Amino acid sequence: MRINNIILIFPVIPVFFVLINLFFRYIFTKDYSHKTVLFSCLLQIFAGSMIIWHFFDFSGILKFSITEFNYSILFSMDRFKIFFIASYLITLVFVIISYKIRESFSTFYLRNIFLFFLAGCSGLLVTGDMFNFYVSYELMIICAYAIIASNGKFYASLKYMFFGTISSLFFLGGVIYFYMAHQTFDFNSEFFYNFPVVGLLFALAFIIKSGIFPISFWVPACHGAAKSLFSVCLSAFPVSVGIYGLFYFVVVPSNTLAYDSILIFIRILAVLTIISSALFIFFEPVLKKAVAWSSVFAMGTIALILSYGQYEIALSYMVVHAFYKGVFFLILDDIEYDRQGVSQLIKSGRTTRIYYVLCVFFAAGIFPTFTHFIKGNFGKHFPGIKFIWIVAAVLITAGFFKFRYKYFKWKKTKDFYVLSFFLGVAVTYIVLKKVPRIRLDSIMVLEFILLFYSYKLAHFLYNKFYILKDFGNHLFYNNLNREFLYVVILFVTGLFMIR
Amino acid sequence: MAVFFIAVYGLVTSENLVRKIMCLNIIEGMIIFLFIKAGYVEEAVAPILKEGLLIYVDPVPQALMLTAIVVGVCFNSLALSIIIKIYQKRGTVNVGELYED
Repeated sequence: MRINNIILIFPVIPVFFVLINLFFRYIFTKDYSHKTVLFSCLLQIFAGSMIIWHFFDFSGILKFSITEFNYSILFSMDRFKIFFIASYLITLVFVIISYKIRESFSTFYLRNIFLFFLAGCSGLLVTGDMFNFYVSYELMIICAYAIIASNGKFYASLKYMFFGTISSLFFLGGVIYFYMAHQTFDFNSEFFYNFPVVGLLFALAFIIKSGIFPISFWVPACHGAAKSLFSVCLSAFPVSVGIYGLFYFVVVPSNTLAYDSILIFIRILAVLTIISSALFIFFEPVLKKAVAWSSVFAMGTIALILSYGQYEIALSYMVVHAFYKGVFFLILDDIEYDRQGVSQLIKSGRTTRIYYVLCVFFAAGIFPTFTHFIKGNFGKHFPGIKFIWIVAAVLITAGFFKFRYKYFKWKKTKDFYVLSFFLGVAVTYIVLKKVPRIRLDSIMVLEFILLFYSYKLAHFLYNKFYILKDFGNHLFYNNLNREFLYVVILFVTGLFMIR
Repeated sequence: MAVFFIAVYGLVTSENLVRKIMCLNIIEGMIIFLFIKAGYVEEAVAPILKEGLLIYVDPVPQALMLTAIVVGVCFNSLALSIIIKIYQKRGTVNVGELYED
């Protein structure tokens, strides 16, 4: 089968299974929807793997349209897209291995809406024109609203709807300007535009979609509101779509045409995102929301690295983020919560605890996780950013361990089994020198110290600043008008910067 | 443009969720209008291809905007139904009195 055909059928697979579901439901009155979701995921993993395999060493862009007609739907694929496809496939793997399809999508209709959600996600990945991008994005996001609302979290869903729509309006504005100037909708990794205002409109659209500060308060609301399996999907893909858009619509054209003002705009916001999200993780009293804040932190980091033109490092980080965030959200189901008062950990299995520690290390970028190496490789050229990352790592680690310190029924001595495991991995890395350009530097030493004292640090800081625990809730959440005002301020600031 | 800015003002200051949705609709309507205007050609006809047709308006903005209108309708229906649910659950649609679950 030609690769063009595989790309073409990739987004059609979930829709095909929706038709099968409807056929069996209304002709034979049988419900096979949970099985078809599984089959759809398996087939998409197979097709997606073939696409990744084909484009792994591919240079240039593959473009093709369905028909010869001038305005036909255009598909495109290049080697950068395989990172996004990998993130998507990781999500599908989690959908399969979690065994939670029936639990997370409890009705026939929800499972079909989820299939449409997958169709929207995969359509975004293979499309080569803005028209199709818009349609796929809206398909994905409207299904996401419905699934979140089905969990009884209406306000969170509505909040997501407002910000999704505002970002789509900015995107449409950018498309109008772009079309008026260039008379085309095509986009790929070599496209550009001649007006910085187009870049600003696209940047604002995707800053909102990826939850970059100050428009990041909808992320914990929505990710915390969904059931765990759908939280995995939300954090691994729809938020990454913001990065996908930032990469293709903003960063690549801005780097090509040296629109430094837009890149500086993104850098400033990304640094603010890193600092603010680390603070919010530290003060967040609900674990699931803290995990969602760590997605915001990851998006800020990715946007920052992207804005410096280090595409492959940033996109690798995104793939790793999809992986550890999937594990993180899934283990939240294996933890018993104290439902009286704030949601806190009270009990969990031993494997869950180890996964929890691992995920915290990934989220904070603690040695020897892969995220540390990614940040280490980038940070050695930018000492200021490295310092911000160290501070953020302290806050994130302390923020996540504050849940364990007070509520885990886990003897402290057992932590040293986990620590000895990490030390063993670290020594192996250093001795065998398997990872190029990695040495025991100051950031690593600091992280080791942090690791050993994270409990005490978390306890000390959290008790010291306990009065600020609702800082985020009162000051920023639950105030839709203020969040809309941030969008206006951001737009005016952006206009001022590019003038 | 004046209507656009009034809608933005309403979106930022209004406390009522239904009014916010109305403001978003007005903003969307203005963007749609702007794009259709961009595809407009003086003395041109609708882009239905037939013999002897020389000047016709650009069909692409119209197609995209039709899609945007459909998406807008989906948004409205879903948002309004969710607002009804919020009202049933909380007894208010005032932003100041609502909080997350």
